Amino acid sequence: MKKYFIFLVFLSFTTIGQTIEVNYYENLKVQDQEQFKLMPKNVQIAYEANIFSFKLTTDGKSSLYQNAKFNLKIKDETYESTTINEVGDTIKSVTKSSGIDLKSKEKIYYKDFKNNKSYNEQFYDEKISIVDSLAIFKWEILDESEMILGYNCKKAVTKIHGRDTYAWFTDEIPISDGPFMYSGLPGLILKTSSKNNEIVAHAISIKNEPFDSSPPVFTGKIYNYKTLKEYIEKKNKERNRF
Amino acid sequence: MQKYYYLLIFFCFSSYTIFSQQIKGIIKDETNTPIHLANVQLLTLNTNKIISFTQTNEKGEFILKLEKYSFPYIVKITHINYEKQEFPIDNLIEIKVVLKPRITELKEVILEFESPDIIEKKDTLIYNLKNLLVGSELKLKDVIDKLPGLTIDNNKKIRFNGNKLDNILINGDEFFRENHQLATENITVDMIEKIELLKNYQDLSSIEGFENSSQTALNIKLKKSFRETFRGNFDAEGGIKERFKLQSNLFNFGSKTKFSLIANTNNLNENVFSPIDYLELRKVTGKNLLKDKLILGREVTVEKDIPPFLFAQDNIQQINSKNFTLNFTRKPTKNKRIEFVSILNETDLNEKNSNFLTFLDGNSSSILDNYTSIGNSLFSSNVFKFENKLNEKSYFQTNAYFFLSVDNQNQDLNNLIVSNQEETIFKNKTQLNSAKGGFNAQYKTKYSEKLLFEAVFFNDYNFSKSLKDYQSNQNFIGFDFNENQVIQNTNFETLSFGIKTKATLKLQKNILDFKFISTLDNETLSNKNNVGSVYNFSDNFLLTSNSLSTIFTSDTGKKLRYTMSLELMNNNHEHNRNFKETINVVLPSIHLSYRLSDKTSYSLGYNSKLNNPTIYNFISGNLIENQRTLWLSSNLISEKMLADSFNTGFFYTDVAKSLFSNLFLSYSENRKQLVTNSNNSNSISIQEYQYIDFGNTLSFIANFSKKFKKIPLGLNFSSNNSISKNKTLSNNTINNNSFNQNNIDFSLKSYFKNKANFDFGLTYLSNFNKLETLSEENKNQLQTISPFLKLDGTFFNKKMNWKINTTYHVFESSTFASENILDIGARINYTASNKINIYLNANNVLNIRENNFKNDFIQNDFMIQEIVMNTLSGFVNLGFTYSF
Repeated sequence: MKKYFIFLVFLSFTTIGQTIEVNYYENLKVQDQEQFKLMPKNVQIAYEANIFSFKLTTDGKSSLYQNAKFNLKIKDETYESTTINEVGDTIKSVTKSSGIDLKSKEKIYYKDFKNNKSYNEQFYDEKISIVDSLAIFKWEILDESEMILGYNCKKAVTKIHGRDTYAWFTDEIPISDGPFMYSGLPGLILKTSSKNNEIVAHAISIKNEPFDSSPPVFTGKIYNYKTLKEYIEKKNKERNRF
Repeated sequence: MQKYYYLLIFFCFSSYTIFSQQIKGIIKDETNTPIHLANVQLLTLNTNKIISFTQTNEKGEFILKLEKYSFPYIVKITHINYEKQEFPIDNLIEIKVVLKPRITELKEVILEFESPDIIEKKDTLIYNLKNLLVGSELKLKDVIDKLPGLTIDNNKKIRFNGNKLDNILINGDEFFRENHQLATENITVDMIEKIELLKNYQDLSSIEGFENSSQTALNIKLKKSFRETFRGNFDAEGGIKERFKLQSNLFNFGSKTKFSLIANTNNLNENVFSPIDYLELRKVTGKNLLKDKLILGREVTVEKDIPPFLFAQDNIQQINSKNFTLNFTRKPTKNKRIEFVSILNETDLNEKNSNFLTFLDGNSSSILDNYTSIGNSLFSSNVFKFENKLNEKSYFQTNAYFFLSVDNQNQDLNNLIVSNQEETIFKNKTQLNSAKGGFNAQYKTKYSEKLLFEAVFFNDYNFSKSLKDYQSNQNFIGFDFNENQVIQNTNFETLSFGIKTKATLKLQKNILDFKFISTLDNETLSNKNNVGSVYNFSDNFLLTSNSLSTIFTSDTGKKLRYTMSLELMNNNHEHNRNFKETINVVLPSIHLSYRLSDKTSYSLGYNSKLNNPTIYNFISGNLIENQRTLWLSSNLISEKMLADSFNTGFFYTDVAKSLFSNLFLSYSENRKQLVTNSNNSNSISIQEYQYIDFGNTLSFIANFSKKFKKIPLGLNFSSNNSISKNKTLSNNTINNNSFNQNNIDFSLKSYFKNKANFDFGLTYLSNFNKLETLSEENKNQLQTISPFLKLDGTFFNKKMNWKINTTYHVFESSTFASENILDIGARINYTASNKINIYLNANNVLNIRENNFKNDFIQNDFMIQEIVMNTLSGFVNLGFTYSF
């Protein structure tokens, strides 16, 4: 019995936990060049590449995806524009733009794989918290592959709200996880890309230490996907009133 | 009956499993505990394509669903904490797997994506300024300093991999021409958006199918706020010792029209353009259009009558200069271009120095000169260019230029002959006025896909008039003259015409050129002075040249490329002293280049050249050069002066590793050349030209530039060495002269972002001269070893920018005992607002005194001059810049 106990202890010590930390950049893609040119500079800045950094810490059982400190200062901008209306009058307008709100870029996404739960705090017009089960993606693995950060990654595609979203994962890191809400591929996702944004890994570190984590505690009203959908529909109606 | 029943049931079960299209399994560890969240993949046997995948649940169970199947497959099971397992399966069985704990963990690693420093796209190198700039850069010259492969040389020219850049482009359009300094000193870092280097720049004259040989260009893309709008700045600086600078820049970089106006006045010895720029402006003649660009080669030309303000580095006591430079280009359509560049420069210069002349013949006594000079120089250069790409097949360009310069110099000279302590005082007045103008045109047209015709016409005119007025406390006995004032007027005039026609034939991928050139140069030299009739003469020298050449260039797409050419030249020299010479030569040349890989290439070449004499070699009377030197009338006639030159090079470039390097070796030999024979005595040097059939130069050039990735450091090394052997004549005896010149630069600079940075290194300059006469050997040397340390950085979120430069000059000379100089300078710049900058400019702060001096060294065939010259005092100035 003693021998068996020592053997068990020895066994538990040999299974050392490993934590993977990946830093990603979330980049917006310009949809309409003409519209982009009309935006004030302190809003255009949100479309520059590699300025919003996020970190994923995962060990396969649970993971935390969170924004890093944004090293960006948004200044107020006043600009004048002159337009001629249908009647031929010249209208000069002065617009003040306070730019993008950096708080809208902050987010927390915690995935608990063991208990199949997700904890998400995001910005919709204000900060809201969402707790529900883990999102399930129907991935189709394609034939293409790409080298990212020295890892050989295969390409996969899925449809979200009718739009194609691509992901590149590496099975050299056998954790079925990825940035933000993405998961469900037989390896860690290092890059995702859809029509209006992309998330790209730019640094990985693998450490021999366990991941001490517990789900975030949210105060205030907590939504789930169903009540969230109702909330968004209500907000859209309010905006369209103007 | 029961057996049969069981068989039926079994049958049903079997068929059920065949049509279920799923593979089930369970995964546990060695303690029989189910493993949750293990990844299970189903792959094809040979191509490793993933057909299906899933994860195990809390009970360790999984189901792989298949729509259709074709065995065999491979099952791959992975989990972060367990060793992976892979095995083939032939049929739909239930899988039971036991995973072993991971003994080889994933390697503990920290990986980061580093964007490359330089991105290579076809023939363009795009520099990643985000990686390469450290935050303390203010002007384009500070930016170029950080770009691997690019350097700014001592003449302020931008060089790529050791070779001078052919063009500077602003937003893709040519601007600033060869005046790199105008760009590097005036474009600020906030104007720059992107910098790229084009290795194969084709300008408007390039016709499809018959592209020009590759030119390099640096393209500076400006930020949107600096385009299509008038921008500029005004700079004022002043301090102790009455040193000051006022400068204003106005520019407008539009897409069709580009304009830059720089006005500057200062006494800091900051020239808006460099001495080499001036020499190159003078070289703009129509004749240069006749030359096809040499693949390799360094041309050295000797210019007569150059105003002294040019070479006044800081070897002057005082300098006041005013400069107005206008650059204007307009592209009304993308096929037409007009360019106008106008420079007006005025300089007042005071020099004071002490010269020790040693004559190499061993006979003549040394002379100690004390010399003061006050000079004034006015110079105006105007160049106009119009080019039009008429259609895809034809191109036309025309250039016109006009230079005017007026130089005056008043010298006071104290001449002491060391052996007998005789002292002579001179008051010399020199005036040089010159005007130069010309016009040329080029037309190219493609007759078919295989045939191109080109025609060039040029016309140049050059006139210069010099007045020398020398007064002394003694009679000019050296000139056999019993008076103490010599006044000499010399007029020089050249008129040149020429045409070139060329037909280019494409033979598959090879190119065959047939070229015919015909030129006429008429030189006139007349001299008059009050010393004697032997000094009054008027000469005329007419040189007509006709040449026919064939040039074959092999397929440039292959690894081994070669160019072979043969030129038949007929020259007629006619001098009014009654000689008429015809010189016919055959000039072959060959050049090979072998591209071993993308990164490595070798080259090998030979070419022969004919050097032509000038009217100064055949003067029919005497000519006074300075108060103690005269040229004797010449009895020479034109002779064939051929020179051979061999060269070889090795190039290694790895853009991904930011490594640029090359080695270049060249040997040239003069089969015959003209040298100076001089007879020296205490009071006079009498010179005349003589032909010798010996003379060679071996030169070696090496360049290396590398920027490291892991450690933020950049290394730069360049070495320029040459050994020339010559026979010189002194007092009618032949001496063997060998002259070795070295220029080595080494620097190591750091690339710490947004922190203080250093740049330290060494500049080594040396001249070694050895003269062997029949009886003895004279050796002389001057070495300057200058280690330096530069530091720079920023404070207060880049509002304050500081730079400190320290150089310690160590002089080693064979005859002079020189004091070493510690030169410390600093510049602190404070950005008060986005329009106003305040700065402190401190230069050579340890030597702020009236009588600063420095040593220098000039040597020629028969004497060595060691100079102790007054140099500009250091200064500390406070300045401000207003930008709009």
